[in-house]
Amino acid sequence: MRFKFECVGLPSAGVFAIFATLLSATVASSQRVTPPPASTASGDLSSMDLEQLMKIEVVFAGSKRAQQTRDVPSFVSVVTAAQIKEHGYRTLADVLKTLPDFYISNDRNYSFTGVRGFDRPGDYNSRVLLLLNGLRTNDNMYDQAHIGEDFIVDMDLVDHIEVIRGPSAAIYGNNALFAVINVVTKQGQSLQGPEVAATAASFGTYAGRASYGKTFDNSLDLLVSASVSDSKGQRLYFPEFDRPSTNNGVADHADYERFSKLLATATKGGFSLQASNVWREQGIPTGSFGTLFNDPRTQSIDGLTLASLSYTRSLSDSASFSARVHGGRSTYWGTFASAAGESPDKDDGIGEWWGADLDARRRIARHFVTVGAEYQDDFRQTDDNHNAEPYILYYSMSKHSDRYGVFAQDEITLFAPLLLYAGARYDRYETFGSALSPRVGLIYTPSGQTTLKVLAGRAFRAPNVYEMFADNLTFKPNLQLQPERIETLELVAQQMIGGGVQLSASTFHNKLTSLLTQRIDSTDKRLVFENSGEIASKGLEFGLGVNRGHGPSGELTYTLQRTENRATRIELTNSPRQMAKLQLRAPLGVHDATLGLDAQWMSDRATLAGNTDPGSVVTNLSLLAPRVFGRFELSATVYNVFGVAYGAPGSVEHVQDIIQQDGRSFRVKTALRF
Amino acid sequence: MSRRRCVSRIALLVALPVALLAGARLAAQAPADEAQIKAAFVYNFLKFVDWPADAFRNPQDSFVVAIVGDGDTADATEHFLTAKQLGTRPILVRRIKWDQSLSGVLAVFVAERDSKHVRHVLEAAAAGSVLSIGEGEDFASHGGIIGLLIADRRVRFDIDTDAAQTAGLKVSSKLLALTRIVHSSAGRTGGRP
Repeated sequence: MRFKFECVGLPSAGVFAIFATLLSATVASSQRVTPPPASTASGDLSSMDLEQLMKIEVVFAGSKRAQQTRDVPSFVSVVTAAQIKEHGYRTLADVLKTLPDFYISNDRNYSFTGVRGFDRPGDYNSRVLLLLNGLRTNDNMYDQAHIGEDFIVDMDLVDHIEVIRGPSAAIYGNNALFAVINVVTKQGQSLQGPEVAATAASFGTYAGRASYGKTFDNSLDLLVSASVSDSKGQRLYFPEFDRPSTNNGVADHADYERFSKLLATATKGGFSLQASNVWREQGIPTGSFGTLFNDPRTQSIDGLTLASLSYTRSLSDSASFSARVHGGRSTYWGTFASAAGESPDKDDGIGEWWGADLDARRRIARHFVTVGAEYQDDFRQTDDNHNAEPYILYYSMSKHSDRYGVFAQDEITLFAPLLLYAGARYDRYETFGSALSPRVGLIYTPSGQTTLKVLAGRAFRAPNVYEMFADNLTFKPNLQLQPERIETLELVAQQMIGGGVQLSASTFHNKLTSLLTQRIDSTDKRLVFENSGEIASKGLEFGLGVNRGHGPSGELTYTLQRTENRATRIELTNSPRQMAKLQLRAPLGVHDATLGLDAQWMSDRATLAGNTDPGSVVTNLSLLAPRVFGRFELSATVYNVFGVAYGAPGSVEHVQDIIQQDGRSFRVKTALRF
Repeated sequence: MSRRRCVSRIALLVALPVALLAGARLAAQAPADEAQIKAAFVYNFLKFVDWPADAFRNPQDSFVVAIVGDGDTADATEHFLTAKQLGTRPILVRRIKWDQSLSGVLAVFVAERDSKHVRHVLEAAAAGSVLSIGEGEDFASHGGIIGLLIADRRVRFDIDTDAAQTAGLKVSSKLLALTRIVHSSAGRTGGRP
């Protein structure tokens, strides 16, 4: 069954465009009656001194434009390249687990992120939107956000990561349910020449990177980089398989991981070209999906290629626009060995797409209006399942669909310290129909030191091709699936006190409906997705941050939350009630060396089998010496310093109810800049 | 439905953002909020520079700031400085063209993009004890005195102390303590702060 090319009905988009034209015409005739205010809340910018001004962070992902963190209608965290280096974070998962609200589970195939108490089995991080320099990386088959070594960019090339919590579907559409994570890469300017790095780590892991970056005299900024890694992996013991027939529960050579990554960016004038690629091969040592335990043939290979060309141009009277065309290809090859001496079963999932988007922004008197439109043609969404040798096709699916979205947002300066955000996005999918995602926010900044935010919004996640159409021995299709929705209400308060200290508190209330949930069909024992259940979650967060621009800096956060099924009032699995996180960075006073310490505590989590995964504290310690040995930059990190044994709840496909996470391990890394 | 019809619908999607921009003129690049933060920096710089005694005739004279070129930062700077004071002096903002005289001007914000025009303004500024402020990594190393830039997601600035000295301006050590110092005489320094 193949979808014929069909463009989804667009009358409402037409109406939208006409409406916008009228709005623009009305506004154009009335503009310039009063001059635009100097700033959305300029009263306090004037009273700030240079040191305060230098602390203001500018982020992009909140409303698709550079803004002060304070003015973004969300709870925002920014992690910089310096923090990544000083703490020895290896992956995006390493970064996310240090942020309030986020927690990571690794099933030894992929890393999964839970956010605000929510992490469902079978969800390939499809409830967060992961962007690379503003470009969507979630694929068009599983909507997967890859946050482990399967993430598309080497962490060394990350300039900073913006994490915008809460629903941002009013701007971004699909997947922006719990958070939008925008990874911004370095420009060639920050390298100014060639750079190489080499890594050695526990479990026979060796990695290398070669990069070149430069801004040329004609203002062209160029960066190219390639990374490779090879890891033998661990010898793992799973008590669930402790039988003589399954190697007494020991998986010997089944935890290997290999990857390669490429990134190229070029910027000149308003043009920006970006191409990136990742290929990762990971052995699956857990015997999941009923595979033969300790068979190194069982593995997954994930690949993602993205390319985009964008153009941004500012116009006078505070107006600007950006346009982008992009293309992508995602590949998933799974190999599952079910019996010794027999040919394994193979999955091939390939997605290909191209898309275009256009945004425009304009300040008109006390309004700052952003409108945008997006189109994506998912011209290939294919999946098959076959016997490797001889080739026997068990099942094959070939889809072709498209989607578009239009959005508008207005930021209104009601009076000097009070900003009102009102926006909505309309999305139309060929597969299921349409979704409307509104958002409103009030931001009150009585002084440069205090910020209060009240935020409410609705977001959706479209059922993806894998959830709707996968049809094989393991999965059963459901063509009736509708999007799941989330409605949220959030209060955020931030207070700067003297000495670079910032206090923050926030509270959230989330309601999820028509949840896309995986269950096992009792008639044929296959996994099937359905819209079922309503989930409510509420929580409180407190944070303390210290950053004086010099000397020690750090963050301490605490989250208290409860997430439950609204009908049964039973708490969800894999949902810790409490979390606390600490990050400290201290200069050692010699050769700019720093010591980084981070620790994460999580309370108990319920598992699928009704057991309790006990809480744990995991501590990591890192030493960074940028200049001790001439031009060599050296870092050494010990992960899980105290060797704490802890686990993460398994999913439906696992025999293990709790999957053991990594014990103590180390990494040493050196970089050389010519 | 045909592919051609689809293309026409994509064209309709494009109409929405384009409609918003109807009537806007082409100018320079910089997101609005970044521009406002930069404008606040410009205001602060004026407090930390000493001009030669002969730059002021009497204490009630306006403090004249010129803006050459256009764009978001130029607009934001104009709005920010208008009706502000420096000590007892009211700030007077003048938008001028690159070839206009800097006589009576104490500071100039250079948003001009043509490099020949920029050089002309900077030469005139250096000769007339005018503090020149601009944007980009290259501004302070190519004859300007203070260059605003974005690094580590924050607004930062470079100061060329040689250029300041040539113009007869004294930059406060408090300002120098917060920044990276470049020397136009020694060429460009590498790396970001």
